[in-house]
Amino acid sequence: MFGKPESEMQEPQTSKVPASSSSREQATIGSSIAIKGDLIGEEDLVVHGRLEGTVTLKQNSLLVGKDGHIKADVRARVIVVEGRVEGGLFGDEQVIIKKSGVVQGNIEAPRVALEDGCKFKGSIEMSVASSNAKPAAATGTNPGSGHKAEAVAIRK
Amino acid sequence: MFKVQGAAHLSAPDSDQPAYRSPGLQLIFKRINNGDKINILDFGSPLANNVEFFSSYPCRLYIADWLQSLPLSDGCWAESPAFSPLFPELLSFDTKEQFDVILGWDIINYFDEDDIRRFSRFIAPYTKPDALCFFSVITQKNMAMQPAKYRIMAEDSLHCEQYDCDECPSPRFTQSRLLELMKEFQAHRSFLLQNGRQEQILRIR
Repeated sequence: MFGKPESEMQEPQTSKVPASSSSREQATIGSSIAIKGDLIGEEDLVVHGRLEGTVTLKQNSLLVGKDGHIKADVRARVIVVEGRVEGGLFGDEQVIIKKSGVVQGNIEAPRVALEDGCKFKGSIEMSVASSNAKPAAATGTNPGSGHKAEAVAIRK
Repeated sequence: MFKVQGAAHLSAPDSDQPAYRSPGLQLIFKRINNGDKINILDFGSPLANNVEFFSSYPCRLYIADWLQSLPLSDGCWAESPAFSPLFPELLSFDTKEQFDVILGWDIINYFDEDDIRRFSRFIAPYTKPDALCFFSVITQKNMAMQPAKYRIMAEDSLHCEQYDCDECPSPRFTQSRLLELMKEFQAHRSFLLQNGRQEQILRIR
């Protein structure tokens, strides 16, 4: 992706939850709601409130809204963070941290996208094998042979 | 001793600066490119390009983001108490991690000498015997009051995004002085660049 004009750079998912192939249903945890415990679901989830425990949405997507605060390990197909997360993010497809996102924890996903300006402290595992993983679109001067994860550059 | 204070008066990093050739980075990528899975510790900020670039290699990338983590108050670096008491808090790992590559960028220019000694002692246990550590030492008389963001453009190319802020005197560490302060490390290679930086690649003793 290096060397491309910004207009060609891949834009992150918008603030909508990425549509799940298994379900179009979407649940929302409102900003005044706080939940403690283990959350398991089979529909997409938007979190504007506070959630503490674990979150497992194996086939579905999670959006942590700007006001959302999750203190938990999260596993989902796609995870988009606009708010705050303290805990591990395990994305079966992709993890996206948007400019407003604040994440402290480790990320494991075939594709990881960070927007410049996000706050992130932790590790990104670059060796999660996936059939969806494509070589990082880069300069051509980047001949790393071990393509496993793809990260998407998003400069704002 | 200079210290980050506050983002309130900062302008965005200057993205008009041209990328420059970085032989130090090239050396780092030779180490990364040997095929083994490696651990990388990046003291810089999370930058999309850097994450993307490292994603081409089998690695685990730890982003410590000390630029963001150091105490901030009113928009400039100024005389302040030592950073070193904060080190354990700013770099806390659950397990005894060890790294193959440490990217310190220009952060040591903003430490006083005592902090550099403690920084060296602090990171030494996290450093594998054959690890390479990258530091960019400012050789010009003055430097920006804020550390820069170093964006990886290619295996041998960096883009330094400097905040548009006031300047302060640079410590202008010579290699010998730096190694006196960082007793746990030894020089591997150094590269004097035309842009007022000297890239120091250090290894653990």
